[in-house]
Amino acid sequence: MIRSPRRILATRNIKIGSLLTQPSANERFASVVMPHLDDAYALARWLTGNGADAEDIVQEACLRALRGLDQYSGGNARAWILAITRNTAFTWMARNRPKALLVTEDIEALAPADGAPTPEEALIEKADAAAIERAIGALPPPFKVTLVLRDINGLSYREIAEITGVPLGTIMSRLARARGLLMAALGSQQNK
Amino acid sequence: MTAVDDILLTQAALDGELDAADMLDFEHRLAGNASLAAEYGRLKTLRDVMRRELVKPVAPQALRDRIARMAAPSPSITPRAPRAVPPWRAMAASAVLAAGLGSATTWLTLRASLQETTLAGTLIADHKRGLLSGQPFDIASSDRHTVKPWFATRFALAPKVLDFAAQGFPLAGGRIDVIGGAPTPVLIYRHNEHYISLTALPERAAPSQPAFNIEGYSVEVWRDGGTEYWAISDADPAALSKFRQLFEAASKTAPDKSD
Repeated sequence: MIRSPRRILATRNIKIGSLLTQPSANERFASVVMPHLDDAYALARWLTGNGADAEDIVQEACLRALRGLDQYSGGNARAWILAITRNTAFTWMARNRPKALLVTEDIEALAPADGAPTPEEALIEKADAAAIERAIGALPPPFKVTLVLRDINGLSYREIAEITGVPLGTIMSRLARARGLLMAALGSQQNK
Repeated sequence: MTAVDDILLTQAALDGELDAADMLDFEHRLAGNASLAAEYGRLKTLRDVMRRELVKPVAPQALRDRIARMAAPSPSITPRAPRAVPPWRAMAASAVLAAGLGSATTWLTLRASLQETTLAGTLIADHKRGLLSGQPFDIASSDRHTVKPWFATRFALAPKVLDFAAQGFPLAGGRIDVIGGAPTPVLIYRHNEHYISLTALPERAAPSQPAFNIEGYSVEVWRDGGTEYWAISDADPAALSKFRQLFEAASKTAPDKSD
């Protein structure tokens, strides 16, 4: 009548019908995903601009991470979960806010208009949180993701390239353009 | 206007992406180039202002809890279940405990032999775990006005809390077990030197079962208004049967008051 623990485990897993496909899935989830929940939430929060939507996205992303835990082969766990969160957020926005994703211009060429005044450092210095949030909120999504991953999540260029699947050079130019747009928004009198 | 490559270089310098040699080169150029220095100043100011003004959002605790529950086949909300244990240990939550008192293998053997009647097996294991730990309840109280609110704060539908001290079954307390992945209220009664674990489960399709006996534990199952009650005890079957009759009778005459 004595059965091995593994046999019991197999029986139990079938009974629960859970998503956990291997014995250590729960433990792996706790060590791989849970430590980066704040990062995932921060990214989703900045991309959607509100906490309730961010919670939905993070929960959905974690479910995907749980299902895909088998595919995670080690390495940068934070980059892995942030990539899933980013993808989930874009899927979510495509479903719920298609307009936010519409980009009509060639975004890679997007830059402050010629002849626009050079942003003033003193004005940028005075910017408050609300103004910065507005300016970031107005960035096209690909720029916003890049900027948030760098300046809120604090990731390296290489990690951002890995997460977004975009070449390093493009990451650098997106970041530069995003910051150029922020400086233009915060550093000119007309926006005060 | 600063050339695009210079902007990228300036930005990389501020983001800490340049190695020492490139950084040295950059600093030399910065010293001799006013427009590059101005760009550097603006970018640095933007970075500093963002650091000053923006707070990185923190995932709300409720979200964190929901996700932890989602990932755990046996969630970690019971105080005695360690956080994030692997499933086999979560399932056998007290293997850890049992190992301290005897042999985990013995305990697993007990579990194995109970597989045929899985729910009863789980409930008996939980009951036994309570006894092994020397602390069969999360809240110890013979006062149902203490136990009932304790459950009410933890479950949308708190179980009926009845006391049969006068009939020889005083209420001893309550605990939360995890049955099939869901936190479940359990009431503990005392009968002489024995404990009775009374688990309240949502009613299932299966008909209520007569009394039975597994591994020396008596089991009584009955239904009451959408709730399925499982009473487990090492007291003798007649005593458990009497307990059931008392509970059913009291439940009929005294519909649960929201105390």
